[in-house]
Amino acid sequence: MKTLIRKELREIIILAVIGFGIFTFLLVQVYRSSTAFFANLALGQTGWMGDDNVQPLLGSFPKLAMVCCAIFGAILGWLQVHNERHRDLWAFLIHRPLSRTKIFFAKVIAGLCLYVVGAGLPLLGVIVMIRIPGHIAAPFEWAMVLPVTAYFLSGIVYYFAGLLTGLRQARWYASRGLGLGVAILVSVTVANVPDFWRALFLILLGGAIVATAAWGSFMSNGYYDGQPLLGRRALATSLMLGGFIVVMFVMVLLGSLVPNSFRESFHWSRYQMTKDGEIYKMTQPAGKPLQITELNGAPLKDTKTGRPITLTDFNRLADSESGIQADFEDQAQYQKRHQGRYMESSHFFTLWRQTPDTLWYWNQNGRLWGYDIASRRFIGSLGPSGFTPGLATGPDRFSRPEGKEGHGNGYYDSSYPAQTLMTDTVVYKLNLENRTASIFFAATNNNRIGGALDVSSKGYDWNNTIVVTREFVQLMTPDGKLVWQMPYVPAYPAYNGVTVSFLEATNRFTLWLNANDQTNKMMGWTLPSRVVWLASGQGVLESTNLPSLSGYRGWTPPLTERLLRSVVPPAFYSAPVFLHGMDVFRDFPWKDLLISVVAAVVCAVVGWLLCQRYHFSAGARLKWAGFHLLFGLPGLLGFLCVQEWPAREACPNCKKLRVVDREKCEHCGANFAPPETNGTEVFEPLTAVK
Amino acid sequence: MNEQPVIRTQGLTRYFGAKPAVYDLNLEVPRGCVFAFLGRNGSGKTTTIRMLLGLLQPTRGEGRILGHDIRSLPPEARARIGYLTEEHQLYGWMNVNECGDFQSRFYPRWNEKIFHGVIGHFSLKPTARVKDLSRGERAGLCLGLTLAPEPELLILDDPAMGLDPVAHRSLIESMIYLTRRSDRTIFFSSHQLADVERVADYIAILDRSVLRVCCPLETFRNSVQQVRLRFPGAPPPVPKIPGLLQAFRAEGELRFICLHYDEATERALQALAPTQMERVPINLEDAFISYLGERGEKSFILSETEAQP
Repeated sequence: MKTLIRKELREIIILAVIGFGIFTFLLVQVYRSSTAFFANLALGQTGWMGDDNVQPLLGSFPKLAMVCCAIFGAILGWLQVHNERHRDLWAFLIHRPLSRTKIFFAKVIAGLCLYVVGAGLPLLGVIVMIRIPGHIAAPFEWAMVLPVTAYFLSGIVYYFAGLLTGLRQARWYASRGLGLGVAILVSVTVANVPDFWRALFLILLGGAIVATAAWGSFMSNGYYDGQPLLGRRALATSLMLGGFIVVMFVMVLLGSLVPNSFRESFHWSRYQMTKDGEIYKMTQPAGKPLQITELNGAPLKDTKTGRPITLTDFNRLADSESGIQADFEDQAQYQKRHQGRYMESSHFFTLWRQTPDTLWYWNQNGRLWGYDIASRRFIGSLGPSGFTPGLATGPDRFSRPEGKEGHGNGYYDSSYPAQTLMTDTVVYKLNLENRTASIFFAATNNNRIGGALDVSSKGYDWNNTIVVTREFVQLMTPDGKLVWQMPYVPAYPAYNGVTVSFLEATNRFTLWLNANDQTNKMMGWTLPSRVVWLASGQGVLESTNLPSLSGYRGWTPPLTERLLRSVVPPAFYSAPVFLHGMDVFRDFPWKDLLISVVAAVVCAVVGWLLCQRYHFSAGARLKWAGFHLLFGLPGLLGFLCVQEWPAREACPNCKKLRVVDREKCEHCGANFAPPETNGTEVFEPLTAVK
Repeated sequence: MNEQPVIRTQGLTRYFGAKPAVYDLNLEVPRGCVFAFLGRNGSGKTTTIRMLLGLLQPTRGEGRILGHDIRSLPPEARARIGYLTEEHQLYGWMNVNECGDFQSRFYPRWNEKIFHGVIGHFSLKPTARVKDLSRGERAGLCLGLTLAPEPELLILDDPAMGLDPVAHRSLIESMIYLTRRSDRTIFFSSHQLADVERVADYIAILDRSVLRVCCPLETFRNSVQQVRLRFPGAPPPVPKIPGLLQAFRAEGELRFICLHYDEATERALQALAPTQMERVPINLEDAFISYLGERGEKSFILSETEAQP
């Protein structure tokens, strides 16, 4: 086996070297663009800064790794077999006193070693570079390596899919490349699962399926017949998954033939206040133009033209709003719920503020980590108890900054006037120049803080902080003075939407308290929105309740998506449970599942008839019927891909057509007739030569 | 000596699509013989060999080689079987020595002397790369790699294809050398009938996927007879003659090649009233061509004789 491994290594090392060179070049380019970004910051240039942008391990590297590892893995696997697909060379490889499994493993061991060299070493190199202080002015944790690790491991699935593609005895335009579908599905799901362990599970599962299919194909010279049972099952599953992608692609193509098939339509309705304090209703009917009406239903008209007002004009009148989703749960719980997926930067940090010479990141441990822009080195961390030069940890921690929770697209807006961070009971004002944290607001009497948000309005002298406690909603000036305070009624948790807007014309404020959708839905969308008008030093001026509009909210998927949903196999409807937990049952697409089940039943009937054509045993028919019921149309495609269309010939006994791969006629049990003689036969018993 | 046949097939059949490549092959190859497996291109020889070695799954039927089921040949059986492919494919990046070194590590009975003897016979430089070798040289290297493990059963798939006469002769000499040991069996397919005539004990002929001949070489040669009939003038039209394979018309004579020549055949020929009738020796190549050319590919002369009223 060692000899074969050495042979394989030597045979394809050139490919590994080429892959190593190309991947290294691309990674270095991306790495250089990241470091150039910090160099520009040091020169005083500003620009768009995303969390992904500052830490390439969470932005550009995973994307590059996804593409490069997939291509490299697939080509490596395919070429490793393709080089020996010549009939005689294949015989030279196979016909030796070594089991095929060992020969296969020798190939795989060599292939994976070279994959590690070609794809793993360049990745390791850049990770080490990023880990060394002074290169990237952003937090580094080893867990940040997981996204590129996931894509690197996904490349192994592509490797086995490449092997399978090279091994299969099938037409290119039919099923040979379908094994790659498994790898593509793995890539897609790996990018969308919340945790690395789920990604790893999917990689292992996908890898095991394709590797077993490749092994089975290797055992039978690329044919389905003659494979071990495990190999046959894995191959059918692989091709079914590939067939799923093909079916999806065909559905998109079909959908594209229908006009507007990609257009989706939303319908919703909400209230919008203007700067002068008037409330209007915006209604978006499905597939129709937006309507802006007064509360009595009369269309709002443009005073100049007398026609219904356009959205653009209306937006000029609209007030400036800032909202908080109040949450009084424990910080750790809150943070866990709002932590992004393992691939997202928000899973680790949020770029909170930039000063002329430092970048400050809110980190998952609740402290602000400071990085010097010029040296790109860590300078220390700032917590509620002050600044320390190290990575201090402890119970004192800031909550996740409001307005940046878990959406996965962390951003830094230089106009964002973030000044404060909060804990469960205290809002701190941070002075990053002096690296100090001072108490801005403290909750009293065991009260808790459900949210704090620094808000401003460009061009206006309005730069305040909203603080929501269990008892009050209050607006405070930057120096800590109370602008107004209003009892938090109706209260949390039914009402967790707190929105404050500034009415420029009257120098007033409005406070909106909106019910959370989940509770409102349970109550039959009967919880109204509470609107309160306030003024500095005068308290509540007036208030009103507006009927809930949240119930009129929905989305009609585009035709293409509806087509796609109809071909998703019933078994795949369990995938969201794996990806997102039992929460999915709240909005489970039962209608889509029903369509999918009906389609699968049709496929099972077709499959049953095909099995009759193949003259399978009753057990085999039942197994295939189960397969088709679970996997629907893709399952049927997988079946057709693995089963060669059976040749048939007339039985000399019963005259019926019989399949040629049985020893006896399936109709009458007769043997095959010997070839007809033509009088030219010369047979004589042979004896051993002494 | 073990009297079990080294190869035995029963109803071995392989379809490609709806077309049978090998149909209901029942074959037994005795131990210690040189067995020639003959047939026209596409008759199913290579398919049979590939099935015997487990490189292709039979559609139905079964086979055993050295007592092992061909569907699951164990490594120890493969160690006892040498296989020389028809196109002599090897890894182009290896040199001759590396090929030997590579192959030797798998075979416990690897005989370095035989390997070097064969490559010396073909004048191969040990450092020459496979991709730079001529077809004949590559065949020699393949032969060395196949013979050095000292296999009990040697399967050669048209080993002389594309070889020049010198390389061809070397190959045959190597085969003869190998058969000096009585427990060795050689099963080979070939279109070189002179080679077959020289070395084979038994022959089998596949005709359009069906085995029609399986007998000692001499039996086949005796079954095919050539008879020359002379006439004073133009020969008469050829009547229906039992076992007629081919008939050749020339000025004042008719030449018949017949299978299973017996009294009935002789009577039918006498009925043509020739002035002279004599048996003419026939070599294997002519016998073989006549045998396989009779159906579907009638000779020009035979066509002409049939066309006459």
